Amino acid sequence: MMNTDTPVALPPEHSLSYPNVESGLENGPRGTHRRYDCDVVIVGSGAGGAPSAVRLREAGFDVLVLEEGDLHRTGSFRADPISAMQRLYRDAGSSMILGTPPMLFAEGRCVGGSTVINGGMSWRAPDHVLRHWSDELRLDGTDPASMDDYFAQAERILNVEFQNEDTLGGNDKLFVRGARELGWQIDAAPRNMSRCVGLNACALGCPTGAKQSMLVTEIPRALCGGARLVTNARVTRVTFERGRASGVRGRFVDEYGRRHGRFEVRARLVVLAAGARHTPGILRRSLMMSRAIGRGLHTHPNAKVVGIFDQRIDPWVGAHQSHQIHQFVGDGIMIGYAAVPPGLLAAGIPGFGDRHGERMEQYNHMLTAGCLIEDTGEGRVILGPDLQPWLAFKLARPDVEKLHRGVRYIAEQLFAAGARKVLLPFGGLPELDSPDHLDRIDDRKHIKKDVELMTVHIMSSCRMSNSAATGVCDNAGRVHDVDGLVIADASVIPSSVGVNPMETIIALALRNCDRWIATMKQEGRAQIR
Amino acid sequence: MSLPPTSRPPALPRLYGGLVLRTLRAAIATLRPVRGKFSATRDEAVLETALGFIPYLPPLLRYSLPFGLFYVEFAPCFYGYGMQRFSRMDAAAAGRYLSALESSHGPFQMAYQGIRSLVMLSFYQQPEVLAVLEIDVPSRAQELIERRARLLKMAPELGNPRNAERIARREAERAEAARADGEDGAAPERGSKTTPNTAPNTAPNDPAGNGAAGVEADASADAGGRTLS
Repeated sequence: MMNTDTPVALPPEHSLSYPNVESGLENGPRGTHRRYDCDVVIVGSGAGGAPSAVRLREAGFDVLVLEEGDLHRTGSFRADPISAMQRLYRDAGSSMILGTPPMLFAEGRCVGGSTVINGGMSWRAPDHVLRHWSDELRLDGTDPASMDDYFAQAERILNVEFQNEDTLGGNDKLFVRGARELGWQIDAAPRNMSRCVGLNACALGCPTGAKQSMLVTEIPRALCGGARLVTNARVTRVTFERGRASGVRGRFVDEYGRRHGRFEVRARLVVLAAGARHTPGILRRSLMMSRAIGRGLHTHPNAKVVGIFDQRIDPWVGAHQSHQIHQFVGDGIMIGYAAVPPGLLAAGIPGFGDRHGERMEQYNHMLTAGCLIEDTGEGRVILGPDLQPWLAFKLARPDVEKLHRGVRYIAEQLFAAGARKVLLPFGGLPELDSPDHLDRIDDRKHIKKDVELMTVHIMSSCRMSNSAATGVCDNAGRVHDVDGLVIADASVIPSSVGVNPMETIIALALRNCDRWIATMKQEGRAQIR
Repeated sequence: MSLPPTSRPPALPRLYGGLVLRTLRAAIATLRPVRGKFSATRDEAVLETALGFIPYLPPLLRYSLPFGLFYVEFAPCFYGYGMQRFSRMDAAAAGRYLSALESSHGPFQMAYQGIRSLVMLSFYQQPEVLAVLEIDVPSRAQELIERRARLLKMAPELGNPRNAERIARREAERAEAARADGEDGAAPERGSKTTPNTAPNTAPNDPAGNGAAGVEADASADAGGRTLS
């Protein structure tokens, strides 16, 4: 329990100022109806919304950011799984992607968006992916050379650096040892942090302030620069006037989703940065009929494998994914490890009762690793009967095979690192006791029914394309056939990135912002203040 | 340890009546480990944590969870247990019944998995359980927060230079404004370049801990005696 009496020294991120913030719940009886006017309204404050807010504000526009979640400052984070899931995650972390198999999906719902609860991995989109966008999809300005400067800018924003050796935990050392035993290429992972001290609570909101999420970088920068932020504001639809977007409408909601009044924003430019699930949802609720909305969803399916070791690892000590294996990225498989809190790990390990308890007693001897698949199958975002966006994804046959290959690689690596038992994500094959049994994974490589999957990366649900038939927006994120409406989040990414997408989202948002600013200034559409 | 809610939680839907609570209690008693090191944890504490989590679930799940529990309560007849209700089964039979549910498919298995996840999450959140597992994140968090504050105080260049750049600009503006107002002799602000910042942070007289990195403190942070609670 944290001491409540003694004043302690606090890192600078605990003292950041957040001026110009208004909570939708302040003085908000149910009948409240507030109106706002601005040049640019940005829906969402995550990896796409926050850098766009800074860029547009610096260009002189009056910027208003709307965020459905609350403003939770660094000082309020407790590295406690339940309160983090309740306050920082959408649907308390219980979102599902429908399909075979169903997939657990987590995203942030707070100021800073998913950057507050992600692992802090800052990779550039691989060159082969960028070349696919520029050469095959013909999206100009997305080739590696053109994107280089935007990635560099994103890295400056995120303060990307490598983990200090003194903060590496037991899980990292074993992970590296396993890869080296097998002669695999292992990379130190670039992470958005400022002198991380290794609390290993990246996914629960970093209480030390080391993770340089949008909450501690671009949001305060935008606000100090004069942008405004309204929290607890859920946008329901975009409004239109004479064929162009004229603003947004929505409801104020509290952390339980209860409604507290309405709001309406009038703006000359509407930027949707609500993520790959909610941006298509807003467009659909706005009665936009393009067939491409919500199609082409990519999910980066993740499967976890747990190794049980004789020696104590203390997986909750150290740093999150300081190393990753990129040896198989060309084949669409990336391997990393994670610190999964005991409650979540227990939920992911089959069984119950005393036998399950005996296994969980070995929590401090467990190393959880996972593979991320560059998926080729495509899913959809559709409006459910509750008018909320529902996700559906079909795992393609090559992806099922890739997944099994990834799981096999991890199991091999864990045994090479000294694991005495490996727990698999397959209902029909829950564990292996020896590396001699690895072939059993190959025996079931086409079965997708009982695979336990989760994801934290969804993208491409409103992808950029030169044609309105195959994409929702053009190669600068401008929605086809609608003036004044642009998109700046993971939904514009044209194909699966294959690595953690945060840096790509920021780089694309910055690139697209420059194009919008040029257009707006040229056309004199916005009043520059 | 948990954050206090920012608004009053809504009442649980009426569906969460006696039958649902009885089934949830029975599910906790069957799913949790009872022997060995975990025996000290009370089922009621787990139930309380689980019920506290439910208001945060999206409406669809919040309303469908009781139906999942109804199913678990009344479904033993489909698995060869006659007309027995789950909450009235003995421990061994209840365990066998849940094992059968676990290996089933479709929506019933999903309902079971949802209930199981809620119970596991709530059980492994209990302080007694975390003590058994020898996990003490709060103490480590406090220690590391202070450690990072001291590190950045001693070596501000380790902080995010973009923050430092912004602070320098802001302070230059403040200094300019102060000069314009003729405020000679004003005490330098915390975090200003005139404040020596190489000393180790041994005294608790800089509660915001922002002397070195110089991020501007807001009014609440400046209120003094800022503590972690």
